[in-house]
Amino acid sequence: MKSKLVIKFDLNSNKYFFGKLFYDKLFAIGLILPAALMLCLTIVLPLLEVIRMSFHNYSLLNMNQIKWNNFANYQLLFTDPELLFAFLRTFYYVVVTVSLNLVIGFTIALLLNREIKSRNFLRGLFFLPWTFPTLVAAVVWLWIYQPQYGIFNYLLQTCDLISRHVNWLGELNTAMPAVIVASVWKQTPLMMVMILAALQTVPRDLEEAAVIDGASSSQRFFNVTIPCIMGVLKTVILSSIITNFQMFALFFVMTGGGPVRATTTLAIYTYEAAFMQFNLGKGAAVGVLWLVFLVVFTVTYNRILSKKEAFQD
Amino acid sequence: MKKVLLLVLVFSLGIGLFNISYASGPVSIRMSNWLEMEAATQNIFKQMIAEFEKQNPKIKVETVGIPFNQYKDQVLIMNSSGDAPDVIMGNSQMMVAFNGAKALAPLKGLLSSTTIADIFPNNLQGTTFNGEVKAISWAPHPIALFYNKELFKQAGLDPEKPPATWEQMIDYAKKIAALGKDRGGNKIYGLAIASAKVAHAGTVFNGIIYSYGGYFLDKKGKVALNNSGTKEAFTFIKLMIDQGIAPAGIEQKDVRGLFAGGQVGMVFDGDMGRGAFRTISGKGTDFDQIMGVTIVPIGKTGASETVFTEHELAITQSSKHQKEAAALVEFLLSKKAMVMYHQDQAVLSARKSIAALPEMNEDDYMKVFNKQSETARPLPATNPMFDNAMLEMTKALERVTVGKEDVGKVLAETEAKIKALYQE
Repeated sequence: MKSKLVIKFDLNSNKYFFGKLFYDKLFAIGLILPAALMLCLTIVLPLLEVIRMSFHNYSLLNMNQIKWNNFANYQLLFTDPELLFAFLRTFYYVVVTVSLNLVIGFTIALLLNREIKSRNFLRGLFFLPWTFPTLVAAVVWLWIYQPQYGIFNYLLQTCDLISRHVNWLGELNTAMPAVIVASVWKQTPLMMVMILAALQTVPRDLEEAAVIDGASSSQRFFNVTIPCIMGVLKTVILSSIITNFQMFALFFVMTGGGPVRATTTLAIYTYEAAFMQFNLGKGAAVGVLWLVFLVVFTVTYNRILSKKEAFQD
Repeated sequence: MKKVLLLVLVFSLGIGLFNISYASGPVSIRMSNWLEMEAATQNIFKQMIAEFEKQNPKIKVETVGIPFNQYKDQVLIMNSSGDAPDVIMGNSQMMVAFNGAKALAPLKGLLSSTTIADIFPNNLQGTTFNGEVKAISWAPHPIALFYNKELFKQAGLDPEKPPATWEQMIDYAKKIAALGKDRGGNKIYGLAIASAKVAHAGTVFNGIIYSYGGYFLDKKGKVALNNSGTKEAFTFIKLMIDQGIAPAGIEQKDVRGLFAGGQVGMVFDGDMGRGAFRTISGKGTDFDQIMGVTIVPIGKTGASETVFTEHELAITQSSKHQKEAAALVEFLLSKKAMVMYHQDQAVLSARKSIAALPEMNEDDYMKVFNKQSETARPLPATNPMFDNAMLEMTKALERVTVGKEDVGKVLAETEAKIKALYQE
């Protein structure tokens, strides 16, 4: 008869070699480990590599001689006024886009949260632009704005609002607003859906209590609805800010950073440094500065809004 | 013991013979390209490679297809990682970057001197870096002048007599722009020149700079953009736009759209223009009835000045099969391959003997482009940062035409910026 090795785990037994907590922790670590390793491989390691690159002479033309360059990439950036302008343009784009996303998204969400006809159909319709890939949205808007054939100019001319073919993406004053419109069209639906989902979680009894207490509709909105959905609002706004800070496709396809440099944001600036000037080190340095800014911003943002949430409690 | 030694000896000899026979099998070489990634050129490229392999059974070609937009970066990375293909296809802007990355082998001694001597001097100049031929012109695309015969008629101009001089061209453009609007209410322009967004606009604008006697590089090869000819060229485009004769802020695809839509009298484009206009207009070959083509009008220098972009071929420094790679390049430049390529894609050849063949001059359209090839100048691409410099040139055009800035100031600042890029 063959002997058989049998290992028995008796969870109710007190005969654990290292104690039950140890095995529980080991089990938990075993569950987390694959995901943690994957995160390390796809996020942490590339991030460390980018930080390393930013301190080196890293040219696509000569990748066999990568040398430490005494912060030369950062010196180059801090002496280039274009970096500041690119940052300010990005900041302007993010503030306007996120504000419009929030206001329009919130308004539509409030409308769709009411008992109206064809509510489900309208929800699907409003959500449609978000399903387009950003690249497709960029090309669609490129043609909408086309000076000679674009429908935008056609409609404005038909309504006698303009008398000439306006090159919306080719003129200094209109290029950035034109991209912002395309961006808001693309991103507002997500904001709308998230806020709508949050609105549906607002407890009815709280609202009814406020009505009984004689609160006006605006008081109910600011003192009941907003505090109840603050957690979701905080997350969608932060997510929208970060997404727009990184926006590349819309600018690259629609304006290429022009005219002149009217739409050269940090993403375009980084692309130019890394892939047009072949200077991967400089490109990485811009990325690191960008990362530092976003980390500081996110921490500050969370702290400020967490205080508000605490106050609500 | 002796038997054992004998067996080892026989076994070793067997292995050696096996290796020898293996080494004498087909040599495999790799060629990077973007032709096989594009529907229009995929089949003809494969046919040319198959024909080469048929003629050279001892050489096997492994093609490495890379999409055009990623091509330059990918080849540079392949080269840096020691995995460069044996033969590289590229354009002028790419080749100067590949040369900057020390990827290219000098072709003298690899290609036959007859082939090199057969290339038009201007084309050869464009692939010569520091006195060494490092790439070879495969399919040049000289820029010529396309015009709309219908708009010529409407403006009271003879559609069979395109402008021969630069002054005539401006005069004709004014007359066509004076037509005002078409039936659909769209503005009609006399001339359209790409002047915005991408580096290509700045690159092709070199032809107009040459027409005014200007230059991007001086005789020593240093950046010298701020000269009187360049100022005149920038002033010319500014005036055309300010007077409403030419549209502002457009790139080449917009130029093509306007021309194919019958909204512009004259445009500059390469030999691939005909195919593009046929497709965009939706009229196919019927568009040929409206479209005329002629060499670029004679400018200030007394010659038909223009530039050519081109597809080029090169052999890599690190290739272990340079002889076989050279055989492939020789074949792709040969009459057999060029006629195949021409019949499928209407491309030109940079070889004097092939450009003159009746098969390459089957209609007036091809004759005009073969004639334009004789005077077209190479792009002044001598520095790996050339593409970036041309993007700065485009930005300078935007500053002048859209931003309404002073030409002299813009040129001085752009020259300084490009000098910094070139580390001069």
